Amino acid sequence: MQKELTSKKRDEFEDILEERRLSSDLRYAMKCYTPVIYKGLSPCKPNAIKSAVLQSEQVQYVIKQLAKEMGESPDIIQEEATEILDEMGHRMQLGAVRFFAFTLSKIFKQLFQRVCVNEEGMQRLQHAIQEHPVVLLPSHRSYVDFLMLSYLLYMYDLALPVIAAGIGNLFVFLWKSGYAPIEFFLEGTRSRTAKTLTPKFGLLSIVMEPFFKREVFDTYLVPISISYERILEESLYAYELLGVPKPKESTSGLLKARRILSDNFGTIHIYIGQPVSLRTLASGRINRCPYNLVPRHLPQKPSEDIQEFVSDVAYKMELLQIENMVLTPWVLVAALLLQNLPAMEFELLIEKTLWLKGLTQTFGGFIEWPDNLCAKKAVLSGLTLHSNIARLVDGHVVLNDKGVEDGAVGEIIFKHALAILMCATYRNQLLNVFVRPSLVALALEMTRSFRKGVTQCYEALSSDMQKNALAALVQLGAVKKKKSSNGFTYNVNQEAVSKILDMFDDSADAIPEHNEFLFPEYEILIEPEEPEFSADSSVEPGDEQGAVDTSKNPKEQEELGATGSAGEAFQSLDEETLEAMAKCETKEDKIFQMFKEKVAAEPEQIIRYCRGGEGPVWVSGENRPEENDIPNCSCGAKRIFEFQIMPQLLNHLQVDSLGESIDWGTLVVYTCADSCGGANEYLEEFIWKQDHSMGHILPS
Amino acid sequence: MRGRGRAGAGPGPGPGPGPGPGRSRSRGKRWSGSRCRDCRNQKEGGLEPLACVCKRVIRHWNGLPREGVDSPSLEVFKLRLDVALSAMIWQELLKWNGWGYNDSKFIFNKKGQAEFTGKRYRLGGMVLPTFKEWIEKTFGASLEHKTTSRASLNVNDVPPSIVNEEFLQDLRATKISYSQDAEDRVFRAHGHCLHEIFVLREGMFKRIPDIVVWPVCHEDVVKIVELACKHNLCIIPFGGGTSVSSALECPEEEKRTIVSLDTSQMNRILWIDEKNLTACVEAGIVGQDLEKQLAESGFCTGHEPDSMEFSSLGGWVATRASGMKKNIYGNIEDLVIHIKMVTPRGIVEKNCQVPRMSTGPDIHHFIMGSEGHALKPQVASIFTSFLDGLKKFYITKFKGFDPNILCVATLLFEGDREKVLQHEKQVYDIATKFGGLAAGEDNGQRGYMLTFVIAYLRDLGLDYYVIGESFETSVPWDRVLDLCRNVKERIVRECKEKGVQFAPLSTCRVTQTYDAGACVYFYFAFNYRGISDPIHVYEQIERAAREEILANGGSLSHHHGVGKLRKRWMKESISDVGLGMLRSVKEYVDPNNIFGNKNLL
Repeated sequence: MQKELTSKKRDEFEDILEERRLSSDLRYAMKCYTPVIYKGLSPCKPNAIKSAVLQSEQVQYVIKQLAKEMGESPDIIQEEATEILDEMGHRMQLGAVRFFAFTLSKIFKQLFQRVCVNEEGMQRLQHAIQEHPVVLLPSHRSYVDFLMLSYLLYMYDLALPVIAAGIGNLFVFLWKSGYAPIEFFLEGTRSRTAKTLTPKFGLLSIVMEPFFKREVFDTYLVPISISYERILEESLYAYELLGVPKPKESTSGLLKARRILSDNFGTIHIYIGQPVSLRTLASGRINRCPYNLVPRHLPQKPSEDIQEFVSDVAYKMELLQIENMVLTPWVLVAALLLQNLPAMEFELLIEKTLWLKGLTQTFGGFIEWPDNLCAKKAVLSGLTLHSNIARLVDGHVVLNDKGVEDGAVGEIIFKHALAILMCATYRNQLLNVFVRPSLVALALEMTRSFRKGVTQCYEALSSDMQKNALAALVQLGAVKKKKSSNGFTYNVNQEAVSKILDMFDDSADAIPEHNEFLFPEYEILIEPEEPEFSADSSVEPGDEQGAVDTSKNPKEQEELGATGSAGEAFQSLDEETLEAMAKCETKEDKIFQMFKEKVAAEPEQIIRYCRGGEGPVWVSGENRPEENDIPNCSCGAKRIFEFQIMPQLLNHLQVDSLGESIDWGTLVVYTCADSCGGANEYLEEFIWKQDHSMGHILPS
Repeated sequence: MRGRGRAGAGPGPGPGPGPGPGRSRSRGKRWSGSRCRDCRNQKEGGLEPLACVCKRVIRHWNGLPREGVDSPSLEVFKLRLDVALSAMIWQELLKWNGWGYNDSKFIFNKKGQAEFTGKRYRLGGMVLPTFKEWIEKTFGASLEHKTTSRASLNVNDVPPSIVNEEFLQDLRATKISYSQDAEDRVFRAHGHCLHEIFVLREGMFKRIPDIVVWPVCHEDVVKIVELACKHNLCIIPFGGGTSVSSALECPEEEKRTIVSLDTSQMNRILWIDEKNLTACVEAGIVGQDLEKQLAESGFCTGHEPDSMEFSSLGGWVATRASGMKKNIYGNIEDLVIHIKMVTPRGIVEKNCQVPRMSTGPDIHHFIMGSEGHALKPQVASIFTSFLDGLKKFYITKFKGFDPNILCVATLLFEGDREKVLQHEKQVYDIATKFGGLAAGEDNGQRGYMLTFVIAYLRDLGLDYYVIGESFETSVPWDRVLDLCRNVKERIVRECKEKGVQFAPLSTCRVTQTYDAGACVYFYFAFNYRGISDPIHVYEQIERAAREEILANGGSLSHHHGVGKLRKRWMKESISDVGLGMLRSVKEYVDPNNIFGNKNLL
């Protein structure tokens, strides 16, 4: 099992700073820079590109529209567009690029121990850029992300990406003509908590449009995972989360405002994912007609199925980012520490770290942990790097929240919260790995019949969670997804399921297999019963058999069916027995028959309420209470029938396994005829439990 | 309708042994016996190969004894003999398992150089020095690896002809020529799709027509349709047999007797009205004959599809054909002003011959593009134009004279002197602006002729494990470049995926232009060595290419038609309601599905 999940091959990392430390940054910045571009394109002067962009139908159309809306002359807007382009053009000028490369080399060397990149990923990217327009989709944890990515592309002789930020059609044109890859953050903003944010769809749908309109043959989406051992803005984020307003951000601001240049921020891992072909993703999913009927330069509101597609792709891309996020030992430590506040014994921490490491790897987490590194060293080096968050005191690891010893109470709490939040930022990185398996665990927990077939457990879940859990199951190999003519079919791999279950049992022993106390939630609908129906108690002979046939509710039958051949035999037996019973009718059967009649009006009913009315509907003639069987209320008044709980409830609560779970025929509740007691206190009432007559319990 | 390549006014039979203008003919079976072929080859000069005719007549006579024996009078006998004879002479001229004339084909001569045989085309006898290298380089084909087609049709493989005796009796009573001969039937069981030619070379069709009939006039057709209704038969009209949409394929599941209605004997121009510039022509006339006969009176139609040597007027109407000169003369729907058509429901026609009328939706548009569906056009009046002024050919070459990346355009100017000169100047101005230049009329003539013999290339490829086909679409101007690029790329990719070992030839050109868009022609061929089921692979790739075309905003077809080959996309192309409209017309006109070729709908 472990092997299966971790065998997913990932590329090796290379440290790109190593070489920078050995040779001149200046020479590096002045190196020959001839980025590869889209095949069949000849390199182009910025001015030529600029005029091509300005003359393009799309831009001209937008300019005209804007002019109309703003009541200004198109010339003015054209000028504005030119300015924007000039600015972009300036950014692309070689001099600026070189200066950038030089400074960034210096700064990165100062800040980070290592910057690790998967070389193979870079090669794939190099290849992809020459084939089709490329969209870079990095994760967003820090402001450093885009600097780092630009730096990286320069280093590998690739065209600097156009950073998509609010200039609309201009950049898309530049990108789709193949001059530069485009880059934006699916998450929209930096995640302050290190949890992956729900994706934004706007930009993604804009960059997909050229493909939908077939202006390009294909588009590559490249997920990029950038993981920081220590995030530059860690305390900034924590402050922000606590409500301290965030300072205005800019590149120089970020770097100047910090004494961070003297600080150590560990290692950055950049994993360039496999380019994903949009054409492959879209094959068979897109109705092309809408795009054929409108001129292509007109912006078009995406149809519903396009929107759905974009959203699916966005989530897929984020999952691919998550998959290759590198987790450091410190992340494990942070998670454990937060579970064991205020302090944790160092030895125990090491032991648990190792355990968590195993579990994480089982679920496909990508942990950077050199083979020969012992756990103690790993934990220690994490603690050293993050000495601002936690430290070792007398053999115990504690949060470093003692900033001002004698500060005001508010300040102490603030400090404490700060430390916890920072710590949580690292723990949260683990969340991405565990959230889906946890959903499955939860789902499995919420039903006791999961061994009979996994599908059922989703009934307890909302549809969104279902999707997630199902995705997780597919990922875990417990469920196989197969495309069929009408949608998808899911097949359960029993072996894998039981393995997963065993894993939960072994590793997370805190989770009991059966939870008797957590039933699924339902809403109870109250409806009056049709009086004429209850009056009509005559049993038509023809109906009898049909009524009896439904004695097992459909759900139960399904379940029985699911247990395979044994279940089938059981079912056939069921029918035979029923038939036999229908033929030789006893008094017992008559009562049950009446019960069935009553229930037939609303087969799903779980409670019958009729205070003081004609009394309960019995399921059998046996074990009916006599009048003196029902004790009087503590106030002395007689107790009268108020409501009865029907056996159907058992099905809804999924405690309907024969012979295993609790069972009743009906539960009848008698309450005080005087309704004694105040409105707000609990009073003891009387409940009578009647079981099914033994004659109706089928042999099993 | 054939639209192979884009040549136009075929040079025609020229000095070859083709039947002269006005002679009736049908096309069809190729005679197997090698003596006949030898005999004909000796007579390239122009005389009819008499000896062979005699033999063939005897054979035919024996094959269809009743035709002669039952003739009530000498006149009828003569008429039938004429039909039979002319049919055979034309049949003999055509390949039975490939494109065009028997004597015209590409071969590799003893020196290993490619050569075009025969004297019909200006290319005849010429050597193409770089062609071998090109074919080897492009397809990875080698002259050592050759496939061979069966030499002739094996009559034993042919499905038997099942015809109701009562129908035969009724048919005989009408005195319409017919044949149940295997070769005649096989010849009319296919068009020129790749898979059809492949079947001819290596296998046999599962279902072919049971009987071929040759009506000679409108009344004959009426009688045949009446008989078909009476006996519940299935009729599939046959014109030139140049369909590239599987339209002539007999539906395998058709249980009724299939009658192939060959229009080739209805090939007369009934009258020419010089005042109104119209002519009344029977549906079976072949393009080159029509042009030739009109030319005798100083007229032309200007409708020149590439297949015009072989395709018929009726076929043009049934597919909504388009020709290369359409910018001056218009497409078939612009040329035809009146159609008289026989349907199982009765005869449909307009009451007058006027250029345009506002009488609700034009009923002609149910007929044009109906793909032989319940509809049999009989007599069409066609706009004609004066044929005079200047014809000039030019090649415009764009500068940068590497012959491999040279862009060449063949332009044909037609009209009166001033107009031609004016057009010429306009084009040159444009060419100069982009650095091009005129290459002279001689080159133009050659380019014109080359585009025309392109259709013969596939047969050569088939001999060397190369299969290929062309297909077309129409697309708005702004999407032309994207569509071409994407479709070519898709073809290359699909080939790779399907295990084609050598990169395919995937190329295209714009062949017709409109104000709102253009017609684009794709050529696609690949070397299929190492692939067990090349036709299946080919079809999958072609389907993918068509999907790509549709996704790029191209049409299902510009002029080839839908047939059975492209039926699956009809709903997407014209919407559910549109399809329903057509179905209800079919339902009204032909409730018993007498014209049951299952095309289009």
